[in-house]
Amino acid sequence: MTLAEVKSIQTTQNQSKNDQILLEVKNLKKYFPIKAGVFRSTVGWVKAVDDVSFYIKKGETLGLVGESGCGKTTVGQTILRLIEPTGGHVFYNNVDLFKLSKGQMKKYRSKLQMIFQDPYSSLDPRMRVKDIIAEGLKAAHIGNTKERYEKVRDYMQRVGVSPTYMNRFPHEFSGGQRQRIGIARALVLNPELIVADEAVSALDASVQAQVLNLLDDLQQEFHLTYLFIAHNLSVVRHVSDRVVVMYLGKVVEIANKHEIFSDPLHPYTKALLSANPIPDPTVKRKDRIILQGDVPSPANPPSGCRFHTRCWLAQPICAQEEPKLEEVHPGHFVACHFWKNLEDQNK
Amino acid sequence: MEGFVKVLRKMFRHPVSIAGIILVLLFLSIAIFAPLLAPPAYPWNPYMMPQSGLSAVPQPPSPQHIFGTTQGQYDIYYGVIWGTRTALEVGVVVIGLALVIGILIGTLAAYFGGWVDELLMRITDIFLAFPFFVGVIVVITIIGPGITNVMWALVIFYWMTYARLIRGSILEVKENQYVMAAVALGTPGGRIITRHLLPNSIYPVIIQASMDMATIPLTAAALSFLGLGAPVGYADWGQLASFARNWIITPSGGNPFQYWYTIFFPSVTIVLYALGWNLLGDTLRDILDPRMLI
Amino acid sequence: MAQKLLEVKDLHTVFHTEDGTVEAVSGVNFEVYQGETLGIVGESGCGKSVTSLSIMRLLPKQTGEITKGEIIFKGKDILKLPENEMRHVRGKEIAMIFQEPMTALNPVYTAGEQVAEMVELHLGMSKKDAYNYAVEMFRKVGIPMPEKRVYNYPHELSGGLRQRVMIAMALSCNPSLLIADEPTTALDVTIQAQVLDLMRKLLKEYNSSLIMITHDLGVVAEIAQRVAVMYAGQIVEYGDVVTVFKNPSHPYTIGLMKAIPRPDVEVERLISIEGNVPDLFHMPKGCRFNNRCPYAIDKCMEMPPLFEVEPGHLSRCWRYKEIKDLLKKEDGVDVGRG
Ligand SMILES: Nc1ncnc2c1ncn2[C@@H]1O[C@H](COP(=O)(O)OP(=O)(O)OP(=O)(O)O)[C@@H](O)[C@H]1O
Ligand SMILES: Nc1ncnc2c1ncn2[C@@H]1O[C@H](COP(=O)(O)OP(=O)(O)OP(=O)(O)O)[C@@H](O)[C@H]1O
Ligand code: SF4
Ligand code: SF4
Ligand SMILES: [Mg+2]
Ligand SMILES: [Mg+2]
Repeated sequence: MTLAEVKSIQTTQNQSKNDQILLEVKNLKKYFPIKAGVFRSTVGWVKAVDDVSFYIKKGETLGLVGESGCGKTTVGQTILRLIEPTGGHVFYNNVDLFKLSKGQMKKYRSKLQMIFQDPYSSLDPRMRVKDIIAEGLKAAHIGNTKERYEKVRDYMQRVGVSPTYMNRFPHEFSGGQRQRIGIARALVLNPELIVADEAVSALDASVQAQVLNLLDDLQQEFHLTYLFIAHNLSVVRHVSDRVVVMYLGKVVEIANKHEIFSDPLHPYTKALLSANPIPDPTVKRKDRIILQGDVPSPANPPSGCRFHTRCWLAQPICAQEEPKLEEVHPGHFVACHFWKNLEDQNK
Repeated sequence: MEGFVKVLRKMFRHPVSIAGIILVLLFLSIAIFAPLLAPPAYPWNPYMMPQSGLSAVPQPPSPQHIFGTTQGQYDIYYGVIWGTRTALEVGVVVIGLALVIGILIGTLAAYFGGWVDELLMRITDIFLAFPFFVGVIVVITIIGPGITNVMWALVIFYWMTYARLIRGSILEVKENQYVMAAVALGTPGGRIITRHLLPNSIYPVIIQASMDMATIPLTAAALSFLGLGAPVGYADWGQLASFARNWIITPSGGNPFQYWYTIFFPSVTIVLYALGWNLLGDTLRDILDPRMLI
Repeated sequence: MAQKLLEVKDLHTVFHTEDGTVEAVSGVNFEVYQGETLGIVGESGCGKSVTSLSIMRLLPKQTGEITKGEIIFKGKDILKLPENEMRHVRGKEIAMIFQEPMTALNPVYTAGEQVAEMVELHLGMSKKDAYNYAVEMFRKVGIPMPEKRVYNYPHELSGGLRQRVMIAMALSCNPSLLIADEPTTALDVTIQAQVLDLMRKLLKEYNSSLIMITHDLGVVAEIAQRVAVMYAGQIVEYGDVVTVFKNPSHPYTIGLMKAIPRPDVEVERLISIEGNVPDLFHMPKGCRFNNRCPYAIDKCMEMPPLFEVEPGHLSRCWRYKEIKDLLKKEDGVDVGRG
């Protein structure tokens, strides 16, 4: 391929960036059984993810935020079929991943990568760092040992862990260093889609900036697509093109980031944004919305709108009728009966 | 390899571990150098203890028989030395085979889960339903006595311990996200087992096996003592103990401990042997803790 | 003035590794007053966790070692306590919330059993009371359906729930000092706000102190009265929170503040500090930040002491006086916000 050809491909890709859907999640469900008693029989289901739909366009970063325990990690892991779904479809380049056999799925493994939330339990304590990072390459039969370690060195450098540490074991690293090892492990395979589950939450601000810049560079260079799960809203705002907000296993709002941050239309989104801590000791936030009531359990979610037990805009109908996820403005989806009230408030 | 050196270094930090290691090494060298320490009387069958007479009364230690002789004039010293070989052979063969079977079954059960697990664990339960000693004796009565048959019978009723141990251990390790991470990287199942699951779960089994190196040969010895194991005259600690049983307290009155040597040398050997492996097991338990290793 | 609860004096902690001995903490000094919260921030790998493990005396037995220093807690040097007395200090007097919730919780016991065991051990409650108490603690930290959750095993809980179990466990015995190592990174901001609120309330109630280790400068701003900034095993800046945030006087602190994505303004690209943390085997000579510092001068080949910028505000930089002017010269960069 000549350089001009590469260029032209890239431009067509860039043009199609806005319409080509890389991954589409449809009615995704994942229920975990609750077991109890001596015989560990199933007494109920944790509806960790309950009828979730969204799509990710090629080359974009989709932020995924929400309450702890609302099912973000579960969404990420079922998409990659690291845990088996209860129902729904995931189309990757129009192929339904859930219909593939385990063997067929292998082909997609290196294209779909995950950065795990917990940098402690996601690294095998008995493997050296170089072997941890090279594991995917080895599984995909890429290169010989020497070439693989060469790549390992390169990626360790890129994520900011000195390659002189490659012979060490994970417990000899700090939390942030481990997280970067996990990032290197995912990146080294040149994937197309990366599910980054709290990829930077263990990092200090300056390394976080480095890693976010790195993810950004790689996106530019290889046209990567990210599903970016995070709690830190300032970070989500910085990296995302669009943002999905979840509450208790359901999507409550989807919009591009400017709208989410300046004009949230779901009360939960609004509360979430107001809780974002500001790095300034002299500012005492007055607009903070402290949510009342217990966090409900996904095993026994409230009727109607799942947020109604804590929502300050709730009306009687909210407890009876579940609001549908509707497109209220182009590209802005929200699941609330009274989103208009909030829109007026925002103005 | 470096890991191994580390383990050794840690082992030598505690005096108790040193004692365990020295004892085990001592027995290993006795077994290896048995032909030098006690040249066989019948080179074609060195395990048969030389008999220097037929007198029923044990003879005290003398320059010819430094530990004395048993009833029937078997040389105790020879029995102790070659008995070490017997003990280690029994231990290594029985535990080795039981480990292979147990690890295989336990790993498959834990890795696949579901009905595979159900089936394999039911089979394990069936074997566990027999009281160990009764089961072994029944099998020996069916297939006939002899040291090889004793080993088979022990294997048949011993692998379950390891299967259960490794299964529990793997189930725990499986919850770690690095296993999921390996799946995400496309690592094949076999490699997940050998690279991630086994290395992180095998240690309790190794510790157990080391402890069992003390007990299994003693069980075999007990069977010999009952006459179910080795043939009469076979160099085996159980035999020696069995020969001594009428002489522990002098049967005909007089000095009650006149025949002390008949029981003293075999039992000291057995105690030291068991102690050595137990100390080694303890040491392994201390140093193989994943946080301390590597 | 409140009483000094904890004083760390010239702490040095080393690790004996395969490749040799490394010093992870080199001469750290700080104090914590009764009822006060000290925030510790710094580059990942700079020794924050190791410092807290040293205070708890929970360093890995075979490899970690405190080679120098004193840790005075309630007037006593706890480094000199025999292990069995230290056990009573841990959990009851000084509690710790670990950075890694999964490894700190035992996978074979339920979450409730683990909290109840602590309470049984330190407060001498009966098994039944301890269980009820555990349920109560779970409720306090905002775990939904606490009566059911106590029967969950750690792997059945989400990251956030696990972290709250850890917090419940640490707070259950009303310790006088709580060391929290990244307690809220796994939590969403609403729960984080709740947990910080809860901690603040409980600290006040029992007049306990808190050492809060975190990466989130927002959290520090919210909860701490004083802050220590660490870099490569040393404290490089120390002072009360408002002063340090408004008037950062060490180039590393300044870099850190520039790097956070701000909740109010959007930028194309984040500003990160060039280069990487030096590895422990190859510490630069002199100021440990000199290989990455944009303001380094020849003098920086010598190790700077902690200078007093103003009373109670310390900076380990030769140019601590000029930094402010240097910053002003760089147009458009406003660091201390406000
Ligand atoms: N293996 C499992 N068995 C039972 N319940 C589970 C299991 N894994 C997750 N859950 C439950 O499913 C729900 C969603 O968990 P998930 O880890 O996806 O949340 P999350 O949004 O990633 O939270 P966090 O932000 O705290 O990481 C939680 O209530 C959790 O307790
Ligand atoms: N057991 C160990 N053996 C060898 N080196 C270690 C060990 N534990 C920590 N270290 C090293 O000590 C340094 C400090 O680690 P520490 O865990 O205190 O960092 P930290 O400041 O808590 O970082 P983070 O914010 O990423 O958790 C690191 O460079 C780390 O590699
Ligand atoms: S539907 Fe009702 S309860 Fe739900 S978010 Fe909207 S106002 Fe609140
Ligand atoms: S002493 Fe020098 S190198 Fe160190 S921070 Fe100050 S200016 Fe930079
Ligand atoms: Mg999660
Ligand atoms: Mg740490």
